[in-house]
Amino acid sequence: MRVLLALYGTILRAVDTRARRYGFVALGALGVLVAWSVSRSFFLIDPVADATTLLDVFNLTFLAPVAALVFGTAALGDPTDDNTLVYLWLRPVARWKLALAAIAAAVTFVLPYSVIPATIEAAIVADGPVVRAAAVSSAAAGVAYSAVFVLLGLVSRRSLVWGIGYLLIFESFIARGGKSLGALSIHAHAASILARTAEVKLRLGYFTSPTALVSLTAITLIAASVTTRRLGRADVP
Amino acid sequence: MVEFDHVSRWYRKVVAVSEVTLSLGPGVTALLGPNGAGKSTVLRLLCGLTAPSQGTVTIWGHDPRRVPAAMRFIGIVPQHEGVFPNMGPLRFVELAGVLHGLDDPRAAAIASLESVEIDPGDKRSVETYSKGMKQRVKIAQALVNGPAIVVADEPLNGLDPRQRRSLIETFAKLGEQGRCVVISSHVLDEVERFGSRVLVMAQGRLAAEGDFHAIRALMDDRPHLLRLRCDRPREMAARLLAGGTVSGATLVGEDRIEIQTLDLPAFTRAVAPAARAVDALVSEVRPLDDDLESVFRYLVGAPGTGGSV
Repeated sequence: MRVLLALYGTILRAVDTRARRYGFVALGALGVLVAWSVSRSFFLIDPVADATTLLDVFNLTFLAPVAALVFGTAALGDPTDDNTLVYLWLRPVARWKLALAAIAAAVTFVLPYSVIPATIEAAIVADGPVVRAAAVSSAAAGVAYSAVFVLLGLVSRRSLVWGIGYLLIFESFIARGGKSLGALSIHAHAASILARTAEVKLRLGYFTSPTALVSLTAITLIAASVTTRRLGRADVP
Repeated sequence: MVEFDHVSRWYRKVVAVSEVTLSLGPGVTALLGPNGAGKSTVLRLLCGLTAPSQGTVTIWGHDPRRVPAAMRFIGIVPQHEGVFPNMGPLRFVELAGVLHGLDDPRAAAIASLESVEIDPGDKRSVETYSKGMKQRVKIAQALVNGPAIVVADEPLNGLDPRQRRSLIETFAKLGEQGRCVVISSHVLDEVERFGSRVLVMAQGRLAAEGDFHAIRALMDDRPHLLRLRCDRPREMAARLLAGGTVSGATLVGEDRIEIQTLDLPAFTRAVAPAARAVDALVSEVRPLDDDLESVFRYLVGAPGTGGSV
């Protein structure tokens, strides 16, 4: 446990930069501001539907994945780029501990930067189950995206470019092509949790909440497992 | 301790290391070679930081890449300067101790930092340190768990002469303690002081291996260059050339000759009789190329390679 905490603390401090911190606080504040504007809008007829649309478009499509992209790719990507990975890797430590510490460090930042604004936005526009839906869906999306992007940060030196491409092309476009494609999409599963918990309809809400939660857990575990495997085979700079 | 068995490593079409077979045991071994010779790749292969494309690397019979526990035996001083941001020296070295599973990583970190003359109480981030201080912190983290194998890639870079001397003594002491210390460097005059065992890399291959002086002695196909100082240089040069033990002699001043010889022992035996014969007073006979740099130049200086250091 001491080793795991040491790895976690080291990666946590390494990815925590002032620019990232201020950037995501500003983006969260922007979402809250938009929610406040929506709640004051003359055209607000169905608060629950409008809140879920806002959460789907801003939080699940943009804020949670981008936060996970930035912190997830940095967790192992930054140590690779600045040549400090060797100080973590060349130790008698099981690789899964390093993978787990990296994902946990990314999640530590992604959750507050995505869940808190989502919950506040939902509470401003509507109340009831949509607030819980906002928290659960953005948390589940944040964890799954973080695990995937930690892996991406390890395998690619251009992880941000690849990650943006993945979000724009697959998550925002291809995943809308039907349920079978949506089964591979983190956004579709998170949107399903949001829609089912808030009891509204969303275009990507293909799945039941338990199915979506199990799928996101599976994606997280697969990404963590592949990261562990890659750490064992990686060329460490 | 460490075995390389026909190890090659290539990156696409570039061969970094080719067919290297060697074994390393206790003591200090210096790894020499010009940039691009494959020294760093050999060290990375040794530590398991990169996998061989062909052949095997083992540490006490274990593949370091497959058995993370083998990392317990290795302490590395990387060449690059990358250190964790916002981390003081004590925390940096203590982290290494924690990851090595030491019972008291803080005490070990303090002792290790003190051994390289870094104040463990310094609160500044290692990032802000000078190159020499960073180098010493990197050495402290490598030594924190008392590893059996210490690998240092260009460890003398950025150090002042006093620090270099101190570090050379540290490495020599580690070697005397029975640890396997592998050091790459291009600071040849100092490498010579690390220890007598030398591995010379050239163009990805192991060009020579063994005791430095033995390597030099084996190079009988290359003339040894010596300077001879005496009061009658012309007569002395003519006598030595006539005796057949000298292949070339060049007058370089009023009292100096540069001698080329293929047979050093025969030349040394011939000097005194020649001096007696021409009634010359010899005040100095000094080898000009019996250092690592000349050995190294010769070994890597195959036609077409330029042979530069």
